Amino acid sequence: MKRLETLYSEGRHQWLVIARDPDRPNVLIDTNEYLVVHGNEALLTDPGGLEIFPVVFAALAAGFDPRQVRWLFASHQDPDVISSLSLWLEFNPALRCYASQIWDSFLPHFGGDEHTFIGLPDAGAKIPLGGIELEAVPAHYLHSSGNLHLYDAKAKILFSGDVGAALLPVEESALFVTDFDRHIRHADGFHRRFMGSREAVLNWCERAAAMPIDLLCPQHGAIYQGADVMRFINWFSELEVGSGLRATRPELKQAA
Amino acid sequence: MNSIVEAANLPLARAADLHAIVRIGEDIRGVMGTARAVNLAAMNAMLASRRSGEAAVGFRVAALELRGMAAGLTEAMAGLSRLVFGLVRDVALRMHKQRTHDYFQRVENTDPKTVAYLDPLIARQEQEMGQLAFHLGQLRRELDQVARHALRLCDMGLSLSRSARVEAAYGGESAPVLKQVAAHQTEAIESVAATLRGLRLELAGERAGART
Ligand SMILES: [Fe+2]
Ligand SMILES: [Fe+2]
Repeated sequence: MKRLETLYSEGRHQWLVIARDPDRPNVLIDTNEYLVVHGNEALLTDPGGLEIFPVVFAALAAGFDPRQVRWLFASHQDPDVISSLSLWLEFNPALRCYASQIWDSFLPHFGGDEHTFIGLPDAGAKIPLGGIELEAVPAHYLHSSGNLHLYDAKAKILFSGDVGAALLPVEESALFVTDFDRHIRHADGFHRRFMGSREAVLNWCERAAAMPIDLLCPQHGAIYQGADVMRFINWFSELEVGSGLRATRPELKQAA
Repeated sequence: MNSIVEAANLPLARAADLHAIVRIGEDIRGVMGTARAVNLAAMNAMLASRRSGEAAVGFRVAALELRGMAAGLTEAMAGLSRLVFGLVRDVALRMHKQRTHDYFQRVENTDPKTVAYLDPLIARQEQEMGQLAFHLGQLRRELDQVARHALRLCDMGLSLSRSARVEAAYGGESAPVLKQVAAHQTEAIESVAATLRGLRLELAGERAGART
């Protein structure tokens, strides 16, 4: 069962997370959905796949009025990110969805029409929410070619999509990272294989290092807080990514 | 919640319905091919009988009417094709709606707030599915009517091809050829009629399936 938990709460401003679903069918990767609330308006990040919609919706509705969710933010186009779109729109046809503009004509395969999508430019954009502004931060090629993260300067929280994601065993599925070295083993293979370019990694690390971040919130696995945020950025900046390529060229594997 | 669906006697959309409709579409394509062949053969028979002169005038008349019958059959089949196209589209739409409805049914709704959010939505979905089911029922009935009409054309065609066979005997030199043509026509029309009867059965089964 998924639960709605509060990550940050300051006056009318809140970050909630719908996390951990030990009951999920095994073939589905566990996902974290984050709800950013300001006043009467809310935005839901990477709302998840079609098959997990019932549990996500139930967890959300048990603690929050789902009619206040006005926006979805899709970090990229993956099925675990946004294939539930048609069901969210069934509940609220006026919902609008932010995503990289390069997916403008791809995402409608999951649902929605010309009013649904707000295409984000490659350079990123401001995203208004109940009177404040969030920021869509470019993270292209990490791993998707049209990929954006969501930064909240007020709460000092960065939603980082698949960056920072870890495929955790059930016995290590706490909400927050507690032992970085132990945790990062479960992120290693994923980042090596899913992230395609060193250039993209360094670009992102530079950008992230310059932002005050208290919580780094990935779409899969545990949340990094405090010093673990910078630990993650440093670890990532040195990682040899693009392992899929090396698998096709043994001579590169030897060199690495 | 499932019991509500059953109580309202809403037919559940199943992949089996779609398979049945696709089979019906294939049957129709087969019949259209045969109807074209009947048409062509009737024309050839007319040409052959013309060569036999006055002796084959009776055969010529029968062949001419057979041609008219084949044209009517082709037209009816084109109508069936259009109906099946609409049926495939609507059955697929119904499957999609059913699936969406199923996801909302799976939202755990012991929480009264959640129930309040979802009940009107689920009621609306069920109403839409009910409307679609009604529309599908109409389409199926229309399809059956056109199939019945086509079967009547086949009956007519069969008696025509029988009289063409009788007339062929007076065809002088070309009597054996005309006889063969008439026999071939009979065979073709019989196969069309068999397919149409099967199609009506399939349609009845599909209708019964949709009610379960
Ligand atoms: Fe992804
Ligand atoms: Fe993902």
